[in-house]
Amino acid sequence: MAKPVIAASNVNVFRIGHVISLGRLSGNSIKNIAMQILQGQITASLFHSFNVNLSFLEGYNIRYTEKQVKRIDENFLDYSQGFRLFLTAPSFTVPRRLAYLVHKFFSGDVSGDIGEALLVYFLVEELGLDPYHICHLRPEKRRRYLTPDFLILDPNNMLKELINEPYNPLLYAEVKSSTGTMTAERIEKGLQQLKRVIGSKHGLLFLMEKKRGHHGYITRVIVVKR
Amino acid sequence: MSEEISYVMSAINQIYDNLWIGDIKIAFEVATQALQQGKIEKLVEAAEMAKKLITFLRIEAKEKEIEDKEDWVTESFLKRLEDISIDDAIAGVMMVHLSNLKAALNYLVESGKIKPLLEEEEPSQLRKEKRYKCVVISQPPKFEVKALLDTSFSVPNFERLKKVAEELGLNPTILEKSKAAMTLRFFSGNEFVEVIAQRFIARIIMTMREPSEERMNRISSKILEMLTEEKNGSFDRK
Repeated sequence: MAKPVIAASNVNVFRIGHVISLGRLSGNSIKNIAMQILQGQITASLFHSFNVNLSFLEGYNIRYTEKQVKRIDENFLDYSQGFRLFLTAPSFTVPRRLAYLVHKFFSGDVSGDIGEALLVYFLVEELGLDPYHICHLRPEKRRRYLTPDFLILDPNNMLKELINEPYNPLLYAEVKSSTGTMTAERIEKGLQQLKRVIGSKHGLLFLMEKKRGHHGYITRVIVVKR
Repeated sequence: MSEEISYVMSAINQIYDNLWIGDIKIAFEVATQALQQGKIEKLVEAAEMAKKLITFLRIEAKEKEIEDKEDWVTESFLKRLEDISIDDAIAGVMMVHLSNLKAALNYLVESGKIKPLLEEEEPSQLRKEKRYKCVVISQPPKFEVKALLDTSFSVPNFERLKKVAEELGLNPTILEKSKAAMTLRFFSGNEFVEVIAQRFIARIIMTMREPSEERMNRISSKILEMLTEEKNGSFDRK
């Protein structure tokens, strides 16, 4: 039988089997869980699969991501095939007093950018969340404020199947993207970051991975609570 | 708390929409209005206190050469929170973001003019119409029209789409629709037009064999009128 063709723009979203209660876990336990997630020892089931419309993705890239990258719709497929596109620094600098409005910083590659745009795409286009109920605060995190990457408001319970238990409509999300190797340290860091901010709420850790030599993106979603 | 957060989130998104098309005045007004809420000082104070505490703990972890720094910082932070509400602190970060945006926008409003980053560039002119406002980025033979609609975009039915295309001398292709967005494409022997609509935003990207600003304006105006027509089936997302 012929192998199914997986398009480069295909995204498979896996949900880690159960909601992880971070409040009761020690540092070592969180480390172990991160390692188990990385090695696939915790059951994860295919939650959703979709093909990305690159024109829509570019819209979310412009509005919600942190880096100064335009036209990922034109470069996404190359990038997904494993061609790592390096960016050239702009030839001009933004005037100091206006730099804040740009709110994006320059970076040498675009994996984080694609990860953030894909997260918003998944929430809005696939799960039906209102795009105006998503707020990206990572730029403030870089200024050392205590905040998750994204604040998500879900008054209409659009995420109920993903979370699978009653939840507060305000959720916090962290995104870790990788085109190389995802490490247990990054997963652990994401869990620790969520533990600091979730309080009595739920948190979502999105691991966006583009494995070299494989078509498509693999996303793992870990739902956590105190 | 959810209502306040929803309001601030909506304000931040409106500011970015207006920044996207360069309407600095409106962006500034939205920021000013959102910051007139009552509890701002308390929330900003919580954000600053949480920032100080986490920075202090990171330094302490470094000085003490703690092995598992991330975990130590998390546990110490949660133990020493005392009077700070985490939710207030995070809502406060949104307020800090809003205040910083307002300050930067204020500088632009007061200086009265937006200068392009490259001197040779002409600043784009904002055009305000009845149901939308837009700017054109001219890079012949390519043009990009960025529009902010007053209401969520409408999905044209096939008859309407065909009529608009005929009036413009273009052929439409199949409309692609998702939960929150839509793309339309038109072509002729001389032009290719791609329309991407996402909620209140529309981008029209045009490539012309014989570039004409007049033709570009006619095409974009017709398409934007169609997207903002009340009689079309509205895009049901709520």
